Amino acid sequence: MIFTTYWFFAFTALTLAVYWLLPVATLRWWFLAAACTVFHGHFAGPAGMAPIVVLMAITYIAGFSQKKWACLAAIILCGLTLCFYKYALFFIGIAIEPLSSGLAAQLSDGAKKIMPGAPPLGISFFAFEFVHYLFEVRRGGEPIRHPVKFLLFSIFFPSLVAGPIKRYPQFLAALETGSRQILASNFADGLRRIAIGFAKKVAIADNLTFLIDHQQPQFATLGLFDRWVFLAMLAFRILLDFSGYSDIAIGVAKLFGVDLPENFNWPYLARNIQDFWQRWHISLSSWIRDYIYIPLGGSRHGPVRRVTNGLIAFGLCGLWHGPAWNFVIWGLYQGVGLALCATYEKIPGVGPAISGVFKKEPTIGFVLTQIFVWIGWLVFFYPVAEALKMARLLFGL
Amino acid sequence: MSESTPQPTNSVAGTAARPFFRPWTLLAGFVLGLGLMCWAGRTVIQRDLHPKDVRFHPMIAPDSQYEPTMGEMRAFVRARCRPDQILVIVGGNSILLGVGQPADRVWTRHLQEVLGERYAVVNLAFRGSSPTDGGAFVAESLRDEFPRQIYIANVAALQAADSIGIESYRFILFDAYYKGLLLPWAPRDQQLKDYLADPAYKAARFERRLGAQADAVLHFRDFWNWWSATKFFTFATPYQPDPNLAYRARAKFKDEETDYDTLPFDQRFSPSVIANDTLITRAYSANGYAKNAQGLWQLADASREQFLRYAANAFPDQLKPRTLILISRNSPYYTRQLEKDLQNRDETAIKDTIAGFEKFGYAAMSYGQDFSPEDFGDRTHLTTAGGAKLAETTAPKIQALATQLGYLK
Amino acid sequence: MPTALRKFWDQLPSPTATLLSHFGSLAVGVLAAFILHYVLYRIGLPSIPFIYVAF
Repeated sequence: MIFTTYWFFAFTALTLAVYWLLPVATLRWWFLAAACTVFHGHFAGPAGMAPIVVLMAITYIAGFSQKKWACLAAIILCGLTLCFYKYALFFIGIAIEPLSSGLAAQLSDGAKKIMPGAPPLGISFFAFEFVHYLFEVRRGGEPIRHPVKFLLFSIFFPSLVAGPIKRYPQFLAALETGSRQILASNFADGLRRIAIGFAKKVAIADNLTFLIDHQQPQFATLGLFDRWVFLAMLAFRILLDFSGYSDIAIGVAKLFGVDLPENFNWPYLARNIQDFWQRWHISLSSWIRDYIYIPLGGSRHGPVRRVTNGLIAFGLCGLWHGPAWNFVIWGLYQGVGLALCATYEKIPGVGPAISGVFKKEPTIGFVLTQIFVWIGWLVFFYPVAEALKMARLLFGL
Repeated sequence: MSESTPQPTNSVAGTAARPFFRPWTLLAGFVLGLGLMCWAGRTVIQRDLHPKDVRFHPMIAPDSQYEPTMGEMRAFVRARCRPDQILVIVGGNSILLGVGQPADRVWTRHLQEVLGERYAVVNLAFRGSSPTDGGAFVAESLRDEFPRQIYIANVAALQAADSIGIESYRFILFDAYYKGLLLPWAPRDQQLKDYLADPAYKAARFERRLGAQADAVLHFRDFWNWWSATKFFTFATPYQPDPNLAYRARAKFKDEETDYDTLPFDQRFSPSVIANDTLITRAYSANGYAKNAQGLWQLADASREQFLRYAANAFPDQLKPRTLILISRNSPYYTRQLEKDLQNRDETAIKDTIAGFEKFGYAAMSYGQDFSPEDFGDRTHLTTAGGAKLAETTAPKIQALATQLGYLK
Repeated sequence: MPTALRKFWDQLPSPTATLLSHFGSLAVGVLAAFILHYVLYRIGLPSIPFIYVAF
C-alpha cells in the first residue's frame, strides 16, 4: 500500500516543507503539480503514467473546447480506457471464451502484450473523475482553463490511488483557499486525521485481516457464535481498512490546506440500505447516482424503471470494484436491497405493517440493515459458492 | 503560519463556537511526542530484553517477523560479557545456533564451561544466516567496547560469504550501517552501493534504506521491539497463528528447540530425506574441482579466485585475525557412503578452504572428521553430544587464538 | 461533536475550557506521534516471515 511506505512519508514531509516555504499560491500550485507528477511517476512508472497523461490531455482539450460532442467522445474514451485496462480479460472470458476458446486466447494474449503488468495506478479513480468533469462541462459547467489546476485535479497525490473521488468545483475552491494561506489548524487537523487513519488501518484492520485469513478455512467447524464473530471481523476489517485509507488521504490533503470530500459517515449506524449508501464510500455512491443512475432516468419513470436503473447502477458499482463475478453479484445484491428499501412500503398488505414496525422499533430496521450489509461482504470477498455456503452456516443450515 | 480559520457561530447561543483543539498546542504535542518516542527507543533498548534466553530462537527472530535490532543484540551481549572477559561471539547459521539442541544443552553452553570464566560465549547465530550476517555486525560494532573479542562463524567448503550478508538478514546490516556502527570497509561499501543501485530492485532497496535512515534518528525499531518483547506483540504472524498466543510478549516465549536426542537414530533419516541429502552430500565439493595430471583433485583457477575474493572481502582487514571460520562437514551417515574419490575431493576442498582463509589472516579449522553418525541429528545439525564435541574441538583453537592475539596478557 | 457534549463544552468556564483544550490538544499530539512512530516500525517489517529451510 502506497501510504505505508517510507518513500511516501519522506515525500510528503519534503513536499510540505517546500510548499509552505513558497511565498505565493501560484508557485505552490506549480510546485505541487510537479510533486504530484513525481509521485505518480515513482509508483506508476512510465508505462503506468502514459494512459493518464493521454487521457488527461484529451479531457483537458475536450473540456476547454466546451463542445458537447468533444466532451461526449472523451467520456466514451475514458470509459473504454477503463474497460480495456481493467476489464478486457474479464470481458474476453465471459463473452468470447464460451463461443471460441481459441479466439479468446488470441485476444487475451494480444491484450496482455499491450497492457502493463497491472492496471495503471488509480485508473478507476481518475477515469471516474474525468467522466464527472466532462459530464459537468458538457452540461454547461465552467471548464478548468488553468492547465496546472487541471493537472492537480487529475493527479492530486493524496487521492490518486484510492480516492475519495473528487468533484472539480469543490476541489478547485478548496485548492485556491488552502493554498493562499498556510494555517496551523490545517496541519493540526491533517495530522490528527492521518493518525486516526493509520491507527484504523495498521493497528486494527491489518490484525483483523490475519485473524480472518486464519479462521476462514475452518469456518465450517466454528461454533455459531464464532461464525458471527468472524462476520463482524470481516465487516469491521473492510470498514476500518477503507475508511482508514480515506482518512489518511483526507488528512494528507488537509496538510496542504485542501479539503477532500468525506467518504464514510459511520455506515454501521445506518437504519436502512438507503441510509447505508449515504454513509458508505460516499464519493463513489454519489458518483454512481449522478452519472449512471440519474442519466438512466433515476426514479422519474415509475417503479419498474427505478428498480431497473438501480440494479444497473449497482451492478456497475460492483463491477467497478474488480473484474470478477462476485463483485457484480455483490453490486446487484445491494441494488436489490435498495430496491426493496425504496418500495417495500407499497407492497399491499404487509408493506405498511412492516413500515409501522420499523417506525415503532427502529432497532429492528438497524439490525436487519446490518445483517444484510454484513452478509453482503461474504460475496464481496469470497467466490459466490463459498459465500453462499458461509451464509447458510451463519444460520445453522 | 496563521492560527486557524474563522470559527463557526453557535446558533443556539448566538456566540462563536468554542474550538476544542488548539493547533499550535497539538503540533507541539506531536513534536514532543516524537522526541519522547525517540528518546524512549534509545533508552529502553539499553537493557537486555531477553535475560532468560541463550540465543535468538524463532519467536525472537525473523522466523516470526521479529527483527532484533543492533541495540537489542548489543544489550544482549553486554548482559552476558563483563569488560574483563574475552568476548566470544558465535555467529553463522543454524548449525552454530544449535538447531536440534535444547537451550539448556546447546553447544555454546558447553563451550562456555570448557573455556571457563575468562571468556564469555554469546550465541548470535541465526537460521539460514551467512558468516557475515547478524552476529558478525554485532561483534564489529562492539570492537571498541570489547576489544578482546573472537568471532566464530561456519561455512561449507568454499562457501561464498558476501560482506553484506544475505537478503533475509540485511535488516541487521542496514541497522548497523546507517547507525554508523561499522568500520569503513571499501569492498563492503562498494557492494552495498551496487546492491542499492541494482535497477531491478532499486525502488524496494531505496525504501529499505530510507527506513534505516529514519530509524537511525527516530529509533522506532528499538522502541517497538522493546514493546513487542516486554508488553505485547502488535500483530499476528503465520509462525504463531493462535490468536491466544499471537499477541503475547515475545520475552514470554520459551526457546522450544527440537531435541534431536529424543528422536531415535533410526528415525532421523527418512527415505525421501536420505535421497535428497545424499545428492547434496555428493555435490559438497563438486563445483570447480577436476583431476589434474597427477590424478589429484585441483580447484580450477577461476573458482579459486572467486573464493579468495570472497574471503578477502568478507570482513574488514582489522577484524580478520580475530575471526575463526569453522568448516562444517556433513554427517558421516552420508559421507561414509561416498566413494573414496569423492571423500578425497571433499578433504581437498576443506583443506583449500582453510588455506584460503588463513592466507588472509583468518583462523580456520574444520570439525566433524572424527564425529560419529549419532552426533548428527540430520545431514548437518548436531545433537547435544555432537555439540559437546564441537565445543571440545573448538575451545583449544579459541584459546590459542586468544593467546596469539595477546588477549591473555 | 454530539449536541449534549457540545452544550457542556460551551458552558464550561473559560479558564477551565482553555486548560482542557490545551491539555487535550497536547495529548492528542503526543498520541498522533505515538501512532506514527508505530506505523514507521510496522511498515519496515517484512510482510511475510522468514521461512527457514534446512538444506
